[in-house]
Amino acid sequence: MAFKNQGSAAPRALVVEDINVDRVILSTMLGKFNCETTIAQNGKEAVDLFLEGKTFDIVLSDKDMPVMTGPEAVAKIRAMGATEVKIVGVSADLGGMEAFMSAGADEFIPKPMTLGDLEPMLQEVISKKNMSG
Amino acid sequence: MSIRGEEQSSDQSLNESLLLLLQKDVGFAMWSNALREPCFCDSWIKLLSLVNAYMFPSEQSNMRKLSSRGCSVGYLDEQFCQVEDLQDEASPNFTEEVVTLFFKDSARLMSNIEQALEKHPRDFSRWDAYMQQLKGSCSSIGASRMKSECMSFRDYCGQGNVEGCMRSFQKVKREHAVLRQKLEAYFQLLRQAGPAGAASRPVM
Repeated sequence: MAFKNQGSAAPRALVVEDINVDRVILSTMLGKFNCETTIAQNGKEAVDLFLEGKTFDIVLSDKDMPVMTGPEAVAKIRAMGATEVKIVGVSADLGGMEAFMSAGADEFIPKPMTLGDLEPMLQEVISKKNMSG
Repeated sequence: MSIRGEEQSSDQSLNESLLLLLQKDVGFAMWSNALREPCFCDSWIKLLSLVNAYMFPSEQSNMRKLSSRGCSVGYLDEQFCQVEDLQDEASPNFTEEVVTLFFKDSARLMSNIEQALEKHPRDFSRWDAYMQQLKGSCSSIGASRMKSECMSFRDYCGQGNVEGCMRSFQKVKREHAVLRQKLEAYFQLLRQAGPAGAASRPVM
């Protein structure tokens, strides 16, 4: 798979997903693009990672999860000042688009996500990393 | 070119026919239609054996896609191919592992729904939320018929139709059971066909 990563550090991805199979598929897809992937099983775990000072280049979050939903987590992450990280809402519920975008997500991709969906987003993230040095 | 004729031919002839079909890129529709018939089920094993023995890895990938579609026409959509495409030498059993995980997850989600139907009567919002999760998982592996039934259930939730929800949930469970059988058979066929190894083109 041709993927332009001009020798910069691997993109750091955070996958926020409570369903095992969806998590595994998404993580494996990200692995195909040489991403360093961290997993959170719900919105609260994702927020906690940011509170610990962890940084990511891209966050891919499901919508409906126990403890804290994706949109709730996105709103909290943005409120913390994490405005640079690209946040993508991912859900089989097309109504989730409004919830995610209102919360501050950059994009919404309906499930199921494909490699073709991921590639341009990751290219964008890599380009941004390369430009900021 | 007759599929029945190919089945009656020698392995060498069948292999030539397979390669020709792949080259013409018309294989999928022909194979899918032909191999829906139960009498052709034995052909899958022969077919997959030839794939592993004679085809290069790039062709094997195409042929496996045809095989998985043929085994599960209507039950799986293109997303299943996406999952298969993630399989590589580092994760040679990735597809089967994901499918196993799906059935584990989906059994749990269906149990949640069953309990909700029993313990939270007419709580359509709760029922819908649980079914939404199951629908998402079905989408992720391409379980199209199961996904359709999940959507049907959600429609009944939207209508406040308890009986409709109950009927629909029974269909979800049936589709789940059938899909499990089909995929178990598919992976069994793959195992019977033998591991994919280095291939060399047959002398034609």
